[in-house]
Amino acid sequence: MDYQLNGKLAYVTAGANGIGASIANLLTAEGARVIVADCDGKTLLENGNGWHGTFTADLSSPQGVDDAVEFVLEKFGRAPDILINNLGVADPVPFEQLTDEGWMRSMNVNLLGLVRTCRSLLPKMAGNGGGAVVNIGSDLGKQPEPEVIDYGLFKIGVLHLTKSLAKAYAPKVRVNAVSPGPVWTGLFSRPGGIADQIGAQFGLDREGAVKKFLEDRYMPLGFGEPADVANAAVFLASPLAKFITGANLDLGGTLRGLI
Amino acid sequence: MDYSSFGLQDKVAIVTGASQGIGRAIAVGLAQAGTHIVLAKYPSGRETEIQGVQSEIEALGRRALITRTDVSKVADVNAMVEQAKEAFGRVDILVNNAGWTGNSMAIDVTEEEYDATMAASLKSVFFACQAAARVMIPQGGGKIINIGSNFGVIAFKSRSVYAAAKAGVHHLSRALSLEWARQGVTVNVVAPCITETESRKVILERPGYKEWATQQMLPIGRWNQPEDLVGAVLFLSSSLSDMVVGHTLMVDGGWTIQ
Repeated sequence: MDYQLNGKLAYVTAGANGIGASIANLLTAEGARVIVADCDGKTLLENGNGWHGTFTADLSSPQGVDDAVEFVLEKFGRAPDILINNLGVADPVPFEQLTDEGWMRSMNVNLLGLVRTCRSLLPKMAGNGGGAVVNIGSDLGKQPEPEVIDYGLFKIGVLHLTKSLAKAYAPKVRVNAVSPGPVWTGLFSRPGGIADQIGAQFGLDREGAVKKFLEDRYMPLGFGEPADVANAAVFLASPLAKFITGANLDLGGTLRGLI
Repeated sequence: MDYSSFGLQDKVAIVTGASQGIGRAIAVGLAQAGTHIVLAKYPSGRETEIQGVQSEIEALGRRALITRTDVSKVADVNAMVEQAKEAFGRVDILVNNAGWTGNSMAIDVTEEEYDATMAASLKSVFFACQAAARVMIPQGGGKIINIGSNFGVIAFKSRSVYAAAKAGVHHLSRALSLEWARQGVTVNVVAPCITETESRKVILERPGYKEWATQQMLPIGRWNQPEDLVGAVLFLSSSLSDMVVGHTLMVDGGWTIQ
């Protein structure tokens, strides 16, 4: 595939594995130089061979974002052309058990990491003459699920930010979002992940739990792959999407309904 | 442009309203990606123009078949798909681009204007999707892209019926995807804002319109060009978008984020 990205500079947050890594790999394959930041230094080391640089930082903290941005600016010698905001974690906790501290932790991971990164980098990207931002949202932003209210709420915030920032930085920096439905990543597949949680709740084996999950949500295409999200994100970051800004691209989950 | 890396070599695509503007740009873009094209145009007028598009596509080494199709007539739409299947053996991609709108204020819209707008812009899309799906499902799948509009998302004076038709196109694409996605047929929408084409010239040249639109309505600060839609259509035509189902992708320079 030729997305016309040869020689571009790209920064991917939370990209050690899963969707972020898939995006970083596709950008690299397309000829872009990619820096990936993540809190998981060990996995960065394992997966980051082909990337231009990696940086270990807790991107849910102001200091972590500052350190990572500083690394990116120094390593590239300027602001990147492409910013992929992939930071986010859905950690199912029943509403009544989610404390104020839990809410604040979720906001830091799912919203403020993106806010802080954009606040640092967007003025510089605009100053460079332009660029493209792709924020990773979620279908849970539009379709509530009681177990992850906080995640869904901050993800709909990501869509609002996407539109606001698109307006604020037009025409220089395009800002768009991708909202995947369920994607088969560690979030689902890890021991104790969503698949296991559903299995435990309904007394099903893993296969049965996955089947129930898909049937309950009327998901005709099943789970997405990280590569599905990567293709959408890289398309929006590329010149092929040069007239697209403030838009959201739903993947797989949208048929469940919209709020 | 060289779009050969989209993986669309030797696919077969139907593009309606292909003699000018957006339809022409999409037809040429798909041909640059390697597809053979069925160029559907309204039965009368624009003969030289459609033959020009045909020549341009044939010069790229792709086949181009012209059909005379009034998309508001179900028999014409069925014949268009039938001719495509007869000529090429299959239909992989359908781009429903043709449409028409009156421009009366709602208080003045006649039954004729209402029916003509709805028939050309919504009924046409449903029956073209149906005819294509009847070919695509048995062959194992296909990609349908309907051209929507920013007016399907926001309202606009003097376009009440057209806006309702386009909102209908957006929702229809979700409903059809729900029925056909499992059989490999996805239906998605590319929704532009007003685009600099010949048919829109009369609007774009109104005194003050350009300043108003580019300064106030378009964050990106310039007009949409027909070529701006090509990337989105190629993405949704290719396997790169296999997980995108029933989605309306705005290609509107940010018009609807206001």
